[in-house]
Amino acid sequence: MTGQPLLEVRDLAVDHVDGNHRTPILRGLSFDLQPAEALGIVGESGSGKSVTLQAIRRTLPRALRATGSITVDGQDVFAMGASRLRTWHSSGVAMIHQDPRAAINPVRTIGDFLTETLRRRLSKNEAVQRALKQLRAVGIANAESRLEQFPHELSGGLLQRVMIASALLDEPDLIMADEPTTALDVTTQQEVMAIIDELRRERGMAMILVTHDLDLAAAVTDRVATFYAGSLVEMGESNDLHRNVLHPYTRGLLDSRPSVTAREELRPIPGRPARASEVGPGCAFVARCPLAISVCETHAPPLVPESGRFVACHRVAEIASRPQHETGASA
Amino acid sequence: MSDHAVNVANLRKVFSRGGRGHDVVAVDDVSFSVARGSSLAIVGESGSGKTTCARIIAGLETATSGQLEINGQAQETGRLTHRKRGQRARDVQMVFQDPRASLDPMQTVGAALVEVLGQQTSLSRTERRARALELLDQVGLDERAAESLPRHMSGGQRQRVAIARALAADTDILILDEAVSALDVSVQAQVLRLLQELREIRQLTYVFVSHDLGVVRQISDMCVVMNQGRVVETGPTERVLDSPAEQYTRELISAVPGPGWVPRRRKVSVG
Repeated sequence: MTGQPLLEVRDLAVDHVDGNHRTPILRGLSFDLQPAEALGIVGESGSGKSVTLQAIRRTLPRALRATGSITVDGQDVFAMGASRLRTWHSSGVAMIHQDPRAAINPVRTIGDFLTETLRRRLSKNEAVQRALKQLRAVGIANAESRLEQFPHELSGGLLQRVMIASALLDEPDLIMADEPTTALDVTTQQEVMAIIDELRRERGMAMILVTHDLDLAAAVTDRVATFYAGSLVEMGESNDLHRNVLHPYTRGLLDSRPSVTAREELRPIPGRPARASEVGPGCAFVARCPLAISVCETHAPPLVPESGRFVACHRVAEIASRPQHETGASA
Repeated sequence: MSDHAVNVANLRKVFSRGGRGHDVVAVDDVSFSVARGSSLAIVGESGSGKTTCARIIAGLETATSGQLEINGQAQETGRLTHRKRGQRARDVQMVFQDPRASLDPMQTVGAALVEVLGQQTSLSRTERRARALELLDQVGLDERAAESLPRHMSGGQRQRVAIARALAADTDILILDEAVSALDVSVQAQVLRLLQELREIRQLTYVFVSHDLGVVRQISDMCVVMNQGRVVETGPTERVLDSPAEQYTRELISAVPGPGWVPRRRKVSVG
């Protein structure tokens, strides 16, 4: 049941450009996002997950260049003029960052921050009413008095809720959240994630959630994509994650994470996460993969459908035909 | 002679805000002991006082009141003289979340270890050099690492160096303050494995400060759950995580994402 996708990403690549020297950061990424669909992007540092969000919103740092194509609601993002891009940023796509303090002006009140853009088209009173309504929607008590406060007077969790309220003011079609709860305590994380999830579903917004936490991603998205060294290596349904994970890297991530419910021997992935620039002609994961064979050194595996998922691994058919071993415990 | 490596009784720490608002009670009547060769986790969220407790044990923070014993010896909890601080460092070493903060960016890893060995041991120059390589080997780094500057290493490698540096003083008590929290999950698992191996081989005692209950389950025998400066619950880690006695502990556990987890709003929104 797929209609016109909200977002189409085709062969998106990002390079760091320094004079004539180009260093790859993200390689050949393609995916679709349907309206109201939530996609999780999971990976370790240097995997290209945050850069993907920046490339889609066209907010890459100056030294990074994107190629490929991105279409939102049928419009070519790379062809958007400055004013169209501004409109899209302010009302079509909302961004929630990891550190709310870095994204808010510290010398202005919460009220000023929330009503700033609304004031362009609403009266002061209407703008304030809208802001209050949003603050209540994200579970903030005493919304009136919060409007008078400055960012430093709010805890991290409260400030992140203010950022969510702000992101959702214009009812965007798409939310992009980059590690929105990584800096928060675990109980606050649960609260903030629940709010994002609830509002997103209620209002039918699509979401791309970038996180290093596979279980967190699986809990609030429809599909999860695993990135490694600037490449998409596996994508599949979130509720399938623990039962049907196929790529050795995603498997390794699940096996590396110590469980709260049982003490099991950790099976770490050897080595460290690679960068896209370190990848040779073969598979990005070859140096750390327990299943690597010679073809993995020489040829990059394409992303192919397998057992309802998309997987970039030369040995995926073998892996899929093996019974999922003891590690794939489901809830 | 007590069989406790660390014993803390009625520890209290008040941060005075010098007339700007109320004083903050960061640690409030905290008591626990760590059996020699065991691993105790102090668990809590930000503001729980877990790091302040750890820093008091390491002598990096003063206590307002309370008693501290290390290896059966009563310790001062006030401001330490330079000499006393050096003595404490021979008993207790600390590993921090961000190793960059404790490594000199201009010094090679080998030179840093040789320097610590010079301060903390009576080894000769050549012995120090050999011992530095031995320490690096124990944390899974090779000779090339000795010639590297911290900035040319990955986060996991730097944390291994920080552990090697803590072991250089031949202390048998390590305080690990969120020591694996900033690492990528695949690298975190490697460092956790390393810490487990080192503990067995060298009979180390760990005080492991963490907000991460999965890590706590993996690394500790006993745990102390703290909230807002106070101890909420203490016990064997398995017991506390499998059948928590306190509501706060239950909330912490249920907030951790795992297979089948769904985030739930805890508080009823008011407005």
